Amino acid sequence: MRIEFEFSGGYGGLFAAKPLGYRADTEGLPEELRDRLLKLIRESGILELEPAPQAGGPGPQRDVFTYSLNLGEGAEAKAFAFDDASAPPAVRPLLNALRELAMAERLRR
Amino acid sequence: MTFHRCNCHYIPPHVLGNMAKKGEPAVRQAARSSAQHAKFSRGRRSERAVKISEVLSGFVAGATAPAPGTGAREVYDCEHEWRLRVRLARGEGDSETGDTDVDTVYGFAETVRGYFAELGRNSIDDAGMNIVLNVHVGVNYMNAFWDGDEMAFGDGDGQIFTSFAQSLDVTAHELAHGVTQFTANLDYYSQSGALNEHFSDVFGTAITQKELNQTVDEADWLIGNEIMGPTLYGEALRSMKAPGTAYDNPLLGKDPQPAHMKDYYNGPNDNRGVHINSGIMNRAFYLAATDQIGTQDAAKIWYHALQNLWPTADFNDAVEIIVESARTLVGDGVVPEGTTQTVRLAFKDVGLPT
Repeated sequence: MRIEFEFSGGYGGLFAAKPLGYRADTEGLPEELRDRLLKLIRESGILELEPAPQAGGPGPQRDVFTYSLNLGEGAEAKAFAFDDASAPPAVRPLLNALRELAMAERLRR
Repeated sequence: MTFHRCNCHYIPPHVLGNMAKKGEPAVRQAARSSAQHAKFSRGRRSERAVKISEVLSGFVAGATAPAPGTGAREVYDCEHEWRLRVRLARGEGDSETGDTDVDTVYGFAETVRGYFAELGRNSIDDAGMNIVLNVHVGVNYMNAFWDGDEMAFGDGDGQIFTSFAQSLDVTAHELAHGVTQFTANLDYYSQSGALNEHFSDVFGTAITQKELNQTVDEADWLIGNEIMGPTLYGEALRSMKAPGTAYDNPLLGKDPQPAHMKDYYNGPNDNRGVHINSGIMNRAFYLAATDQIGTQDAAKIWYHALQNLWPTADFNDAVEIIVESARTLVGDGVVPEGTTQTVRLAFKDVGLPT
């Protein structure tokens, strides 16, 4: 499964000028990480969600992280946009894991 | 958490904004009140729609659920779940829990509530709204936010960020977002959004300096430095004194905040720069505070202005209203003669008005 993830914002306005990304194809990942991500994706139920259009504008929430997530398999792909206040609780562990992976990858570079 | 939003306005918000900006004084005042009331009502409807079941499920022995509308503090332990109001850990007047984050943020909320009370404000909405704080949100969650009704604090991962609940600056910043929502209700986009962030930084800093009994020279004027973990220790998230210098490291990159309008960020990210261009206004506040006025008198001027701004206000509008507030407070004897000129000069030094 192809994963394209970006996030920015929060109290610190982290990566405000350029969102931090994480891209991977689960086929090429180490087994442990691949299994962990696929489990998080499965448990989040995200693939059953209707890909939501971008919101019309910011709601009342302030200092939330905003996330964009594209998941693709073969010729099919789904795009999602969330923030900390609007993301379904079941999806939050997946978003958090991808955010940690993005930051860890940046630190390694 | 589910939000129910409604955009039912008899007069569109942007029209009210223009009326507030361009109309005769009486029209301006009425339009500002209408624009603020429309947003206020939306916020209160949202609160009613999402909270009842959560409140009922949050009762536990030992914690007292305060009556609504009493300005009381309610601290919830989210027990590392990714939702709010999991368990009421400490209500107003309850004894210490032994949980450092619960007890610390409970104390911080009193400090912030007291600060705004001295400015004549009755809690977040000036009508005794209870102050709801959620700690231990999620797992290793490195953030704090205001969700339109209440605050949420993550523990951080302990390496990059420590617990956000351990910072008075953070608590005051987020609670101030609530105050802004119930006053000017600045749209979270472009310049009005940068003003929204700016006012939260102003009150975060002013409240911290007052609590620490610091002079303008003793204060560090940094935002977020106290939540940095070992990986970023010594860095900060913003500098009001020198925007653009708060951090420069391999993880976060370089602080993108401009200190002057000539370096204004025009890009699409961050809701068109709400956390970026706030640096320009932050620098102006720093200059005003350090040029004779002092942080606390400057904050009084800014708070007065916040109550007279409107959702679509831009930087030039803010300069006009803040200078107008300075004149009003000089006339009332709240701040000394010469303050108006100092404020005007501070804005001139950052290239405002344009």
